[in-house]
Amino acid sequence: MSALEFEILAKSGKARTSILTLPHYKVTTPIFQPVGTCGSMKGLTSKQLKELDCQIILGNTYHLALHPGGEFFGKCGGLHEFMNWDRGLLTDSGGFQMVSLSKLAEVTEEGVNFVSPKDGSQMLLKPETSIKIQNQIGADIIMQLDDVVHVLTSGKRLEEAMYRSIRWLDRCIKAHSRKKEQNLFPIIQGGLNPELRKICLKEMIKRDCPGYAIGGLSGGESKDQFWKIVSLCTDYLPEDKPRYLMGVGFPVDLIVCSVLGVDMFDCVYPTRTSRFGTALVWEGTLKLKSEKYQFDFDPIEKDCDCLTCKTYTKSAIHTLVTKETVGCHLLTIHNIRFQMRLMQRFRESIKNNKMPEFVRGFMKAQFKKKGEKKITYPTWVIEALQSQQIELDYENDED
Amino acid sequence: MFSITHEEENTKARLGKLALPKSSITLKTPCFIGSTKRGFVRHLTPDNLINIPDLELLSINLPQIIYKPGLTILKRFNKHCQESSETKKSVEETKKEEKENSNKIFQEEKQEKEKEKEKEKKIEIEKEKEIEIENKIVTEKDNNKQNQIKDGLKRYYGIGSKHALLLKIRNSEFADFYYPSTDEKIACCASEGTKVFITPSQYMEFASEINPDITVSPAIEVVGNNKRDKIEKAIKRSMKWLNIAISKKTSRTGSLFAVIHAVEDPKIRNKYLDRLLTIVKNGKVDGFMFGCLFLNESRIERKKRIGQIIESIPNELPRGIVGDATLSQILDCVENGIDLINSSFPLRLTELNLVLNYQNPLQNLRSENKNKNENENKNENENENENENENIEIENENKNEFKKQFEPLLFNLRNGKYEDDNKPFVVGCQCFACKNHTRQYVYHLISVREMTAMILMNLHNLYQYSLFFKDMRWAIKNDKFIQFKEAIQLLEKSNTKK
Repeated sequence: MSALEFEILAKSGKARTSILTLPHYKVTTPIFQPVGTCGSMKGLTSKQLKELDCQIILGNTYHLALHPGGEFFGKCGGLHEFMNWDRGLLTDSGGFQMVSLSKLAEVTEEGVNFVSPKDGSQMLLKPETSIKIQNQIGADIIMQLDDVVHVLTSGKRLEEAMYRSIRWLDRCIKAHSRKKEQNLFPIIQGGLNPELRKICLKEMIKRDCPGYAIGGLSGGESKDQFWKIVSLCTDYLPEDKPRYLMGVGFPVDLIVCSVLGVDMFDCVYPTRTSRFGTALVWEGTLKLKSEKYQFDFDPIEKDCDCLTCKTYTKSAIHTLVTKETVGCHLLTIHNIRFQMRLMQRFRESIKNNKMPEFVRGFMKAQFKKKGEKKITYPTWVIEALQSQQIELDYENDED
Repeated sequence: MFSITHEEENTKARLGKLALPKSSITLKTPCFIGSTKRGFVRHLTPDNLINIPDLELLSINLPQIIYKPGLTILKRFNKHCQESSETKKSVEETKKEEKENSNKIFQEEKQEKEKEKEKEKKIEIEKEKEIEIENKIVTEKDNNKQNQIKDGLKRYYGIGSKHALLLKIRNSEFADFYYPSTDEKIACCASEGTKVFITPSQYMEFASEINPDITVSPAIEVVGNNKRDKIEKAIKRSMKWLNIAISKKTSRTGSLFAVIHAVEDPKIRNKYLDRLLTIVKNGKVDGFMFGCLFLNESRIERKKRIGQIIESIPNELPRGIVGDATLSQILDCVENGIDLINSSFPLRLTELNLVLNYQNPLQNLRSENKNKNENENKNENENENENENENIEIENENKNEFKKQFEPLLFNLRNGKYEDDNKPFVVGCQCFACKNHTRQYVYHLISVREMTAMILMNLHNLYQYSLFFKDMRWAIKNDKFIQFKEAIQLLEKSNTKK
């Protein structure tokens, strides 16, 4: 039973663009989902998010459970009403935060035993409690509680984690009480071991869930292994259901994984770098804190249609960034809009049957350097794109 | 530039209109000047700032922008703006030349004609400049031409066409004590933490690059109980700087406001006031700013000083005041004839997580007046009252319970009792924050220390503050200022009871 509809509009190799109809909104994929941890994007109001064309945003169950708490959402009617946001919402299970933010986290078959860094109090997070809180929050898509291990572990621990995640998935499905309104996604585990991944894929696909997430990546592994595991997962996952790759957000990674068949992404990267003064552009990144932008009177990107690029110059943002809160709001607006536009152009290129050219042009702009005749790409990008029959351009024709 | 439309019967308060032709705005005084940091109202991006209706004049303090952006960046930016508008013209001209015959004779003749035209244009531009400085009347045609923001700090910081700028140079009260200036140089504490010296002519150079609507002349505001010598020295220095500022005044620096030193000793005060008034008679000064106030003097003392000075200065020039003032202290100033008030009261409230609940204490009086107007059919008041009546009607429907008692003026949103409160900040408020969000949401954001809380509270507090000024203008118009003042004093007392 699922509460979503997934309709593929056009394909190009493994990449595809489609419409995902959720209970609150219709989303077009591939899509990037910005992260608003505690119920708001840092420094932006819900109205501004709509103008940036955000369709679905993330909330973290761990932070929301600490404050205001799951029962509160049960009373007040869910996170949509609380935030005054009428588009899509997605919540994660809270497992990742607990493991990454705590000093002592013991994982048993029952659940994750956790020592809070603030009080020192003990808390046990079981799959049932995680699903209960997510049911109260009321997002369109919810995630299972999985046994999260560091991506570079191997051997017995990894195998144990993978099998346990499957068992916990069954417990989550049983505890899920709002199957007609919320979609439960399982998370494929197995680290960097292809055999374990295949077993996990086989078992989780049997449960026939509305969509699937690929987890356990983006934590410090080499990119060569990373893209191969992603490609393996998208080979096995069913075509007519959405695929969500967790924690991936650099622009180059977004494009490569979309070529390999992923539909949904999320990351804190664009919002976090804006608070440190980095702007994302078609050619890479700009560190606007440096002095060389003092006299640069062009907008950050000439063809961008966000508020920042229409009214401000790089020099103006250089004087404001890290000194005024307004500076970080303006850069956040631009970075989020950049990610949205990137995905939008990718979608259109698939519809117009020009996806390889788009990818070629984007990679060239990202990796070319002045003064070099030939462009050097990282090997993983070359191999990943070659596996989908996309050849890159090596000639650096400078203007 | 400034015209008085109404003078209140029982006090010295007055309604006026201040024309700011550079931004094609006419301010209705008394009004408040929004304080900014580096040109931005704190926490608010331009698309949020438009939601506050009555905030039209913003003030910038020079020490905040003296390093970044600084004079060199602004100069280059203005050049860049000029060049980009000129290159468009030159491209068009070259295209025309290529299309036409490439005969040399024709080209030479055209070149001669163009040179003549350029000469004529230059003469015209010089004449226009002289006319601008001499005349103070600006026609409507000129307003339309100057409506587009071409260069200056407004374009650099995207301040927009709905806001005007006021430039001042003012350190905090005790900085003048620890960082003394000399006769030739003004000492500034830059917001990066260093001390900078700037001469008055450099200050006017800055002003011409920034292109504000109003510039306040540089002055030292002395702190309370200094010796007589020190006070006189400081005031003489400020006069010298005022003369330099007048000599460098151009259309790009905008109107010039002089600073009146309202010190304690009336002899010193009057001596220098006479000198100031002789300078003002030449017609170069367009208004006054009261200085040396809100520096720990008592309320009665402040009223006395303002009252005595107002008697001697000309009536037709606008007056402003700078300082951290509560609502009733502002009314003290307006009662004595002040028109512009620059205080950061709403911002202080948001930083302390306080929400302003200004409850239109004159509701009853206004509804009586509304009935009178309907009976008498006055056309003048109808247009204005229509917009204000919408606010009253909505607020009356929702607040019938509170007519007799006042709710507290300020409440602290950090209090745990707002966890379950799903009302907007103030029931009936039409600001962006109250229309879209609830108290419990902002309570949650404050506890988790999110930035969005500051944005929403600042929007609300500024909106409510502008309602206070609207009511003040209504009270002056209908000669009910004293009742308004009493109602505000009752409102402020309500906070201490509960």
